[in-house]
Amino acid sequence: MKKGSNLDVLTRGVLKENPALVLILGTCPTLATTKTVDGAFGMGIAAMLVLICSNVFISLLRNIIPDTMRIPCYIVIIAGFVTIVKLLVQAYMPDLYTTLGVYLDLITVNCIILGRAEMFAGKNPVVKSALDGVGMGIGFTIALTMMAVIREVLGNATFAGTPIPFLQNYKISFLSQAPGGLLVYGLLIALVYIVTKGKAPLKKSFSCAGCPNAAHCHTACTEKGDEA
Amino acid sequence: MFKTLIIILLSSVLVDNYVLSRFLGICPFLGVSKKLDQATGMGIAVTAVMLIASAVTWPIQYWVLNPLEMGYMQNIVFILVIAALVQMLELLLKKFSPSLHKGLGVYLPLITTNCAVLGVTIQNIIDDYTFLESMVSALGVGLGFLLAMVLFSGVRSRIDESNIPAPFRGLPVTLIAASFLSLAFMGFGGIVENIFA
Amino acid sequence: MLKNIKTVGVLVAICTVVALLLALTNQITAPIIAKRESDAANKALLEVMPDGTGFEELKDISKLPDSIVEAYKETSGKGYVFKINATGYKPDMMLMCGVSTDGIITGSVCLSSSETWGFEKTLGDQMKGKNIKTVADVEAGATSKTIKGYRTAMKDALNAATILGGGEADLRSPEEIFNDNLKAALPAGEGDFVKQAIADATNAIDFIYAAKNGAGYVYIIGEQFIGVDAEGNVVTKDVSAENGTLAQSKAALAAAHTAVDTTDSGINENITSVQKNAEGNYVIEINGLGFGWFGNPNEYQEAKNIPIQICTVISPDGNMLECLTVAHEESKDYGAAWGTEEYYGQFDGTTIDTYKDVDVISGATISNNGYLKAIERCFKAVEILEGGAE
Repeated sequence: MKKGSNLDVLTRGVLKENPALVLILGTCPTLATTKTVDGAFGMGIAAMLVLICSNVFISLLRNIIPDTMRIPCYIVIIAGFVTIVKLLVQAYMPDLYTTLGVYLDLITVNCIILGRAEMFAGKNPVVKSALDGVGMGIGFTIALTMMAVIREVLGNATFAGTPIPFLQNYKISFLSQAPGGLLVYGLLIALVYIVTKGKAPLKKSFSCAGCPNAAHCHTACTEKGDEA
Repeated sequence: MFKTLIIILLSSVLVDNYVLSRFLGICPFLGVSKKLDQATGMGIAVTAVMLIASAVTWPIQYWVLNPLEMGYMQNIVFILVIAALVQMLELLLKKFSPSLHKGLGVYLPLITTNCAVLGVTIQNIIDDYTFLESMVSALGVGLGFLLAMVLFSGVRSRIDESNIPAPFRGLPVTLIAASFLSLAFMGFGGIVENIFA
Repeated sequence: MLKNIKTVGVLVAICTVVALLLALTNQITAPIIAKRESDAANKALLEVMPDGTGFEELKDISKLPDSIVEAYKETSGKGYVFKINATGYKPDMMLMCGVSTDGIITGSVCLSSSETWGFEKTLGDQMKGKNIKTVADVEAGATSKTIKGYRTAMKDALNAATILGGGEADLRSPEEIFNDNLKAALPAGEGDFVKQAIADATNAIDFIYAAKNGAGYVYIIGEQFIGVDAEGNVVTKDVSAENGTLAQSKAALAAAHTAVDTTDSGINENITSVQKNAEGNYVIEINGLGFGWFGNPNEYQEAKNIPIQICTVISPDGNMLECLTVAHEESKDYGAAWGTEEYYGQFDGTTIDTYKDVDVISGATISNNGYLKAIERCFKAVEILEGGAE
């Protein structure tokens, strides 16, 4: 597969550059909405919709948006699409709206979306940006759903709300609560490391690299940043 | 009245800790918690921004957006207001108090897209808090964030000195340690409601 | 400078476009969201008034009984829905009750409560269709405070509807109203009645009360109280012909019952009455006990305090002709099944050797023992009485 071809752009978000497990972006929703498979899948799809729309829009406007004002412009565009998706979910999927709550609003500050705008859509043509959005969205949804399956099946003995009979007496209920999210995420990233023989995750520790604000944030990163 | 405020404060610091039980603001929590001074600086900066942001967004929601029936602009307006506030705060600090800017100002740009700040302003509206309650809740969330940061920086410095198996080095062990801290905070569940019962 | 203006201009332009897009989306979704929200709010109201179309909260409820917390008017004039704070063992039962304009309960649910036994959760269905005359007669657990509180709340709701309709509230307690109605239906009974559990009462008749002094019976069919004297004549005026005939034929049957003298016969003391009906079969009423939590489910455990009132008709040669659960106080999860035809109907046609083969309703194994024991005692009683006669 030629690097930079449309197919490559589409598929790398799913595996090679999976946003949640390899790029380690969008940590908040990954941890917060994976208690249930329904919530995680809904969150993945909602973020994907916002991501595709904002990528296309930003790519279209990439020559108009002045460089100095690009972050505020990106944020406005993203927040706009988040609100549109939120209104649609509220109108047509009220159950999901209740499950996701404030996290639906917080897609605005999901680093994946601002990150892709900054790293990809702001520099690439429309079609590629759309494909990037689709790929990243699918990758994010898969990662979220996978984590939710682990947490919901083992933690609550249900799958997407349907009880699994033989597990009823073996619930590890803390997995479906807050600490379980952090634990499962940590284990999954370690698993990714083992499977890829240390090539992934790309981000070795939490630091400023990869943060969409890094370029902007001259101060904290350069002066006091990550010396390790 | 006073009781409600105390309950809001305590539950947002301990029980509903934004970082450890709601996963808001997890990026700076994991990113800037390596050293105690960094963690404290970030925590105080976040608390300050949360307080100012709540103080500004509450009137906007109730005196501008609601009368105009433009609730759907909430997200855009809030995030822009927060971004502008943070910029302004940084400029002011730089100009009037260089020493404070050196201590806290450096963390400000990181806060613009901190989901805990947007989260607390939106949650205040969702929970129908009064202005005073919003401020108390913002203070509590900020203090909870600071507490979690400070505690976790202690844990982090221990981790750095240990020999960790290769697959767990870096991120995974940090997450797992955070999981244990979160488990400890779960112990506060049910306490706050029953203190005054 | 020009560059700055252009930069700001772009941001403003983007903001404007996005705001317009949002306004457009909002135009489309706002009515749907508003409808969903009002539907959710109306869901509980619709549950107690299923054919309601829309509800409007009444602001001024100062004239209504104190227990009424919220009142809603059905917008097409079908009736009212009330939220009532009722007092059972604890003063925190929140009930919702729909009342039609002609004073009939269209439904009721318990929104929240902390009563120990949880009867209040099961009473909703029994209240449906009652009016202020009959609201006191709900089968299960007639003595429990929970149920008295529930009834009083229902009466308050019915009164509230009367007041809103411009009428006068009835200040008697539900029990007094009920007793007054019995008295009015059969004055010769002198106000002293006992509830009868006649197994061969048909579904059309809701309840039968016998005058303790033998003056006759009162049959309750729907909201009509029909008094029938000892000679079988309908004494209440203004009774529909159909109901009157039914009551009369039932009275004839009941009159043909002859009490069996069970003194010193040695039958179980839980048996409250034994009669022979016109065909010579035994009609036996017995108090069984359910809910024996504590013990091996394969053994009979005397239960604490949850009676099941059962009536059986058994032929002299020991065949169960009919079995009926007259009343029970089991809580919803375990005992609700006792009151159903599917359960007690299973005993029809059984004998002392086969009655144990009935299907146990799942999750109900514990109190099943109490029920089976009661059935066994009825069979034993017939054996003793028949054996004694020979």
